[in-house]
Amino acid sequence: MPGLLNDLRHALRALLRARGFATAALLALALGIGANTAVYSMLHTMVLTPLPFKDPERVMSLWGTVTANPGWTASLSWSRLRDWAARNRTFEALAGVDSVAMNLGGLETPQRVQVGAVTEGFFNVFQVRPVQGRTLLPSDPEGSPVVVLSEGLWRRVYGGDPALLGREVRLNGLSHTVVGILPGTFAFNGREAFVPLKPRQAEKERRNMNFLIAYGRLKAGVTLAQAREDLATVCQALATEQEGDRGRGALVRTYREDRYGSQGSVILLLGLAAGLVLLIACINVANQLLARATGRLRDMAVRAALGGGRLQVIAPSLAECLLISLVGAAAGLLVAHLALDLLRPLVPADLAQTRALGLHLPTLGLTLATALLTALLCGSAPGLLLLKLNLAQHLKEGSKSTESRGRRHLRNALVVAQVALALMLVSGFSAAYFSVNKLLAVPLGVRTEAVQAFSIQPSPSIHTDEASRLRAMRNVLEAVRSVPSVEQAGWIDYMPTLQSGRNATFKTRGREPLETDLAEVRAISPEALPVLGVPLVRGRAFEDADLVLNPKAVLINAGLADQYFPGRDPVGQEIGFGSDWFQVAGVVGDVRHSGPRRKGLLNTVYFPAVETFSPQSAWIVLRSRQQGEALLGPLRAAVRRVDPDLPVVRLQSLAEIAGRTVRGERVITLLLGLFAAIAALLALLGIHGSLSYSVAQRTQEIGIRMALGAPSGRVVRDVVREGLVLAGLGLLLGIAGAFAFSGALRSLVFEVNPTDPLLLAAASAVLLATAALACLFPALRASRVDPAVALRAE
Amino acid sequence: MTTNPIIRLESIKKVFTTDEVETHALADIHLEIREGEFLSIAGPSGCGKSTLLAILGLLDAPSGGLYELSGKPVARLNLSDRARIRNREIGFIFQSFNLIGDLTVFENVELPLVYRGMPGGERRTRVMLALEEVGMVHRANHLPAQLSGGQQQRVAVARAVAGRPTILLADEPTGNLDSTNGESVMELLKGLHRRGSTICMVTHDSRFANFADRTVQLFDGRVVEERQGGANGRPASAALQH
Ligand SMILES: Nc1ncnc2c1ncn2[C@@H]1O[C@H](COP(=O)(O)OP(=O)(O)O)[C@@H](O)[C@H]1O
Ligand SMILES: [Mg+2]
Repeated sequence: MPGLLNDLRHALRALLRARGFATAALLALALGIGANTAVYSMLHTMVLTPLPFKDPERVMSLWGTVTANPGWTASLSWSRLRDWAARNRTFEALAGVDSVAMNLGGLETPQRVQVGAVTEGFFNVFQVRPVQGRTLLPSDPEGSPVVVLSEGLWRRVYGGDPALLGREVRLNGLSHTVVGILPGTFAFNGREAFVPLKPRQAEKERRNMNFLIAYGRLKAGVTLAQAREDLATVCQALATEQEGDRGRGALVRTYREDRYGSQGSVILLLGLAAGLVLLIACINVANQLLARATGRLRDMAVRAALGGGRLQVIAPSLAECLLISLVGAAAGLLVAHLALDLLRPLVPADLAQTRALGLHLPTLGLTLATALLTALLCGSAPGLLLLKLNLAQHLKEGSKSTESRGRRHLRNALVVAQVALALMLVSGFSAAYFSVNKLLAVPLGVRTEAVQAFSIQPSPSIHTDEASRLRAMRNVLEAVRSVPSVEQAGWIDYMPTLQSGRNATFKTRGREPLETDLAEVRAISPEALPVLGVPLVRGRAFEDADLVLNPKAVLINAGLADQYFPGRDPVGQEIGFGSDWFQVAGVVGDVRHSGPRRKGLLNTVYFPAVETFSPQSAWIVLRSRQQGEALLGPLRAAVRRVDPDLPVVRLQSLAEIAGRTVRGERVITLLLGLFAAIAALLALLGIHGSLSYSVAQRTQEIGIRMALGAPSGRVVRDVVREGLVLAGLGLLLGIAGAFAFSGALRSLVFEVNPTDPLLLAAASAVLLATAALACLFPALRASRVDPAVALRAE
Repeated sequence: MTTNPIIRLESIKKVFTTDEVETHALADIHLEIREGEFLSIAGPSGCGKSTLLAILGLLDAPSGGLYELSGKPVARLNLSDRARIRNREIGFIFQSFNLIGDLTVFENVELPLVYRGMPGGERRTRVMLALEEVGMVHRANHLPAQLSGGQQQRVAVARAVAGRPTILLADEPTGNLDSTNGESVMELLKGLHRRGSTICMVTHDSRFANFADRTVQLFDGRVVEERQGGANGRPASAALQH
């Protein structure tokens, strides 16, 4: 131990003397270790966080499947869930959740709350211990007016009032008794309150009214395979008994896989990228150490001649490594701390609530382990040198140590490896970058500038019938229009770019209807499309005259018109839903309802929002001279005059809403960009360092060449060529690596092939330019070698 | 037979400035070297011999004075012109041989010709001739490390003469060799001289100074003595009498 301390002390002294080397190595390792630490934190939160309920590995997600539609999963109907629960033998409990938004009233500012309306077994599946009171019990009858609140909601809205338990709160205008508070760690799918489900009659009766997300808790000792087999048997039996169950099966997955499985590929990608960065950093430092060790061969030989064992001989190098790695790890923590802010949007909100993204103890342990591994990896370079140490030669030779051929090959190989790894990252970043650009370039069909939107939901318990609900919405719209800064306002039932909404099969005259004749259906006020900037292509827009009880006019999008009325004027054509026929009054532009990824339907039929088509909730879209708080205040005041319990939810610009659809991709691209930039920088430093060393080693040789009349241009060219040849080899190797790396990218990029030759060529060009830059200074130094050195004896 | 001075130095000065300290390595050197002459420069260590040779070889520029090579002033040429002249007019032989370790004997000798842009076929002939002259043809494909010191210096001599330079400059060519090898390298130089080469050699070994026609004695950056024949007064070669 005192030996180690002594070595560390010497190492510190040596590093303080070799400040250039120390700074470069430290920077490399800090970035490499920092990147990995950040990913460890993500791993810790997103994969290793124990889910916040008892025996989480026994909790499963259950989906219905349709044999004719492989890959499709459907939620469960109330009666199917009931049958599965009654007949299975492998689950202790099965339960379903209907996710609904409710208005929490009786407050200064009414709140929209995400509520889980759950069947009776829910808290038998998710066994959580409440912080106060109780959870819902099977003895709470369907729809009984009780509620359990999340700790977050309780603190946020009620200031953690301990007397809230047992009191009444107003949900959608109805009184509910608070019977319990759930712990803050239990953030189930962002739900902040749970009430017993009260299915409507139709929901109970219709076999394929699928609206429940189902979960189950396996009996102790039951495996996933057994559960799957069990439910398959249940489905088979039901298929023979129930018309609606024919051709339907069950899908069982662990809850974790079901909820967070898709995050796995993000972590894998970022983990790979961070690993590559660290590898480059290690190689970089190893190469610098190798050069340093060459300069020390004589010292090492002397130590060995004096009887030092192998370890004692390389101890100074190892100690330097250890010191740099540890200090690098400390600096890496700082890097990680900064990087976490970037990573935060990638973590699902409920997991972040269970365990916040941060530098927790296990992460620090992994970082320390990484640092030690790094030291070992880097420190082994001088160890390799020692294996071939020719004592007699190095003791005989003058004070100057020259590099052997083998050592130079190793040094060059390390440079090649750095370039190769850097290319993998740069091409990965390019793929992600082009992918985001492609996503952003997809026309959404709506104007995103200067349009703002917020969501309202008239309480269904107050506005029990459609007419009353519609009246409430119209009143809200009028109130919004009365706000002085608002220029134009309308409403639409589902927000374009954010979500697909309802869809339905339709038919046209003289055409055999197909199951695939599907269109999104939207209810709008006449102003909605003009506010959203959806252009009228043909015919006319909605007018006030269309707002009658049984309207006949609909609008369709251009794509639908082209597809179903080719060569005809679509205006005046008829389109049917069920037994009702409507007339196309106008054709409007295409809108990407579910964002730019080209998923979901493009075909859309717009109905005027009247009693027959009035939705539960709607987005008010508006154009205003004001935004943010300056608009929110007057809007709230206006809406409160209509209904004091009606919250104004999430006022935001359409640009924000649309931007959110690519937020994850942007974050990943930014991170890959950072990693790629670090990698390119390290590769640049690597080439620069290696060539500088080579030039320094060969000063004598370069001097001789110049003495023999080599023009200085030729000396420059030789150095640049050396650098570019290494870079070129690295790029070739890196292209092979990019093919390997592309697997991790493919599922994340949009309409971009990560191994597109053009893309790889562009990435290679960037790195080649970087390499050329790295050659510059060593080449200039070589050209400035004084040829008179040739006359100096060695 | 009259011969022209191929090198003429007038009032050559060289001052090195390092860390604010000025070293006057050469002060007011006058020197002429005639075609076919074998000149030896002698003097104690640090007196400026190598500095003078570096200036003669255009490895370094003088701080002042006039230098004419083959009748042309060369004291203040730019880097690339100096490189070109070094390549064509000057052949260097160094104390520490200075062969390039990665290149074979053949490639080492070839190097100045490559820099000159000579076509491959002609290069090959010249290299083989030069190697023949120093008796190293059988080692053409060896690496320098596989040769003894004496052999390495023979290869260095071949490299110096392969380009048929105007003058050979040798800085203590025997300094790193034992006496047997040293003598054989000196015999080689003598042979070259006999066949017409102009040689300027730095040595502080009086035995080898005797090989020269004329010896210049340097002390503290100045020429303190100049005499015909070797250092111990041996008469100069008849061919150079004038
Ligand atoms: N590049 C240089 N920078 C500074 N001083 C030098 C340099 N080269 C030679 N000198 C000095 O010039 C003087 C002559 O050196 P040199 O010509 O090498 O002597 P010699 O070859 O006769 O032993 C010495 O004092 C030496 O220290
Ligand atoms: Mg000298």
